Amino acid sequence: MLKRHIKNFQIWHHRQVLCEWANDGSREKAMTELIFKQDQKNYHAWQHRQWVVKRFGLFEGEIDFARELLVKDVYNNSAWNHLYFCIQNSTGWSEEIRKSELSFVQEKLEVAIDNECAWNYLRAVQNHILTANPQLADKFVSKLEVIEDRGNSHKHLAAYVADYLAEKTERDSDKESGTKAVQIYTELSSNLDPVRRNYWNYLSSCLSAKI
Amino acid sequence: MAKHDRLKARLAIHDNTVPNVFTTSTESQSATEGKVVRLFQEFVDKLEIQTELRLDVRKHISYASKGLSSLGPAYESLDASRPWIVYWTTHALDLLDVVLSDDKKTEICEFLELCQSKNGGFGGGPLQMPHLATTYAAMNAIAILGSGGFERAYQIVNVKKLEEFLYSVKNTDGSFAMHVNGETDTRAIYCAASVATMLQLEDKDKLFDKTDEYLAKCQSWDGGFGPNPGAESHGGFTYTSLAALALLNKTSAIPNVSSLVRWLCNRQKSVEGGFDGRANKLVDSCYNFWQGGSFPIVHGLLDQDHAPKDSWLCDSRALMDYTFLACQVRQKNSVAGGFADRPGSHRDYYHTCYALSGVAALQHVYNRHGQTTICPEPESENCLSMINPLHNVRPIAVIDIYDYFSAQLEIEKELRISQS
Repeated sequence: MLKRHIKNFQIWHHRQVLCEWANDGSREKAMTELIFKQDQKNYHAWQHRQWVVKRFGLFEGEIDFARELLVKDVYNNSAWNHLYFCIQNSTGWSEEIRKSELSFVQEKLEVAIDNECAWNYLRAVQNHILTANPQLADKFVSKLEVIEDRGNSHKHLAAYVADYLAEKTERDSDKESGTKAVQIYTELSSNLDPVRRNYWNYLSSCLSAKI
Repeated sequence: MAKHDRLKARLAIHDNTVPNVFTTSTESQSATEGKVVRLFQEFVDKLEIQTELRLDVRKHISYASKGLSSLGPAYESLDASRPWIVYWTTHALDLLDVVLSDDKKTEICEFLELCQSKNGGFGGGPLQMPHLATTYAAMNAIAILGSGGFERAYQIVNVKKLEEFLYSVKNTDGSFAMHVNGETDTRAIYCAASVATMLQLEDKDKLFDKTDEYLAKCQSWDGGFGPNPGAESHGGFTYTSLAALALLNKTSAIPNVSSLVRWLCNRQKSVEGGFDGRANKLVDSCYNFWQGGSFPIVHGLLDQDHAPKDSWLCDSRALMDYTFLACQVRQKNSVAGGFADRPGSHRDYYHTCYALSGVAALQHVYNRHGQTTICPEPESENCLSMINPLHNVRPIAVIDIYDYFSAQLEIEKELRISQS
């Protein structure tokens, strides 16, 4: 029944209840994989898999599973979320893990720099403190300077650099970084990412007050 | 800035941008983007004939009215959601300034009464067990019908029993289940909070004890919210979490406001102008409201010295371009009107309600400096009435229902005092 109604809340909940009663989640991973064959991002299937994995302690192989999915489709947000979730609930976010995930996400950004998920993950791995890894950030600053792109594939890169420089400005009272960040926000607002102009102008305004 | 320059700029972005790598995600995005771009280009090419966006008001009124009278066989699967259909259609009509007759209102009230459970709350249809979602929908419909003095609507509600129902689905960790033995997620919390606030329940703090803590745990690593802690961030669950916190006056519980704002702003598509539900997913007009509706709510959490005064943080015009040019369903036979999620899809009452609600939420900007209307032609048919983004009914409907139930509470209190 589930295969015919893969987006129905009640059926998934019912299946969860049955697993509870039987105290058995052994078949669930395979079942979600059947669904993923049709729809890699099926929200209910992912929720169910997360629930099963946590409830029955079936974390083994999950991180690899998420990484495999990201090889197939680096833009799959569900896979990125699953990766984060599994690390969070198995090894936890130790310094070592943060370092290795930092390498992992950089690799993925080499594959596709226009991937919002990877940029979000990069921020999350650093606990949203972009100045935590200045060498990495400086690499992106350089990259932004040389990028030639008539479209807006590099808008996330620009946003990250601007946010990093804004953070640096606040932390170090660094006027130069502040001015550069405002320039990038302005470029985002007028050319690169105009649908978000009100947001870029807001960030620019907040920062300008601090320079 | 010449008219439609921004639309043309979005078309240029489409022309100049290519994904870095080709996957199933980029394939489906390209297909959708292509269809939308074709419709935008058609509009731009015919600007001499039609200079401005047009909302087919009369057709949408026909479509929504039909939903209020009879429903075809395609809706059998929604038999457990009939208060939803009542809400989606009456709300759409309300946004389009349609006034229902007292007779029609009475008919609808009689139906909603049948959906009320003897244990409190409303189910999906007569004799069905109560469910938080259908309770929310029924209450919103009641708010719309009752506004302006039609108290018959408010009188439907058995407040005491409804309160009992809310307690019966409350979990000790602060969350709510959708129904007894049902699934727990932030939708349930929002529905409970919306209903409890409309009813002006006395002990809201007690009923929602720990709810803010639970909601805080639902914020994801990328800034959006999921249905439960650890789940993928998603528009519907972000809206319900944010609106619930606002209804409970607990927005201070949000762990990271700036990443929420970033995530939300990133949900608007660069080319299409509408919103997606999650990163790297497709645009869908229902997110007009589930994402768009969050902007008025989050605005108060921004630095007020720098937040824009005559716009929200997203692009209202771009949203209207998408909704009016790509989501209005045109049909040759039978009744035209209604909205679909994106070009090529079928229309339904759900998308009709939320496509319009999102536009309504984003057309009117209000703050302590005053009010601005962002509309292709203000005073025209393109301009919808305002909504209260926390409940998604008109502000006057919210005021009227709050007034009614707080007055009822006063009456009850006086009765208790006089009896003691």
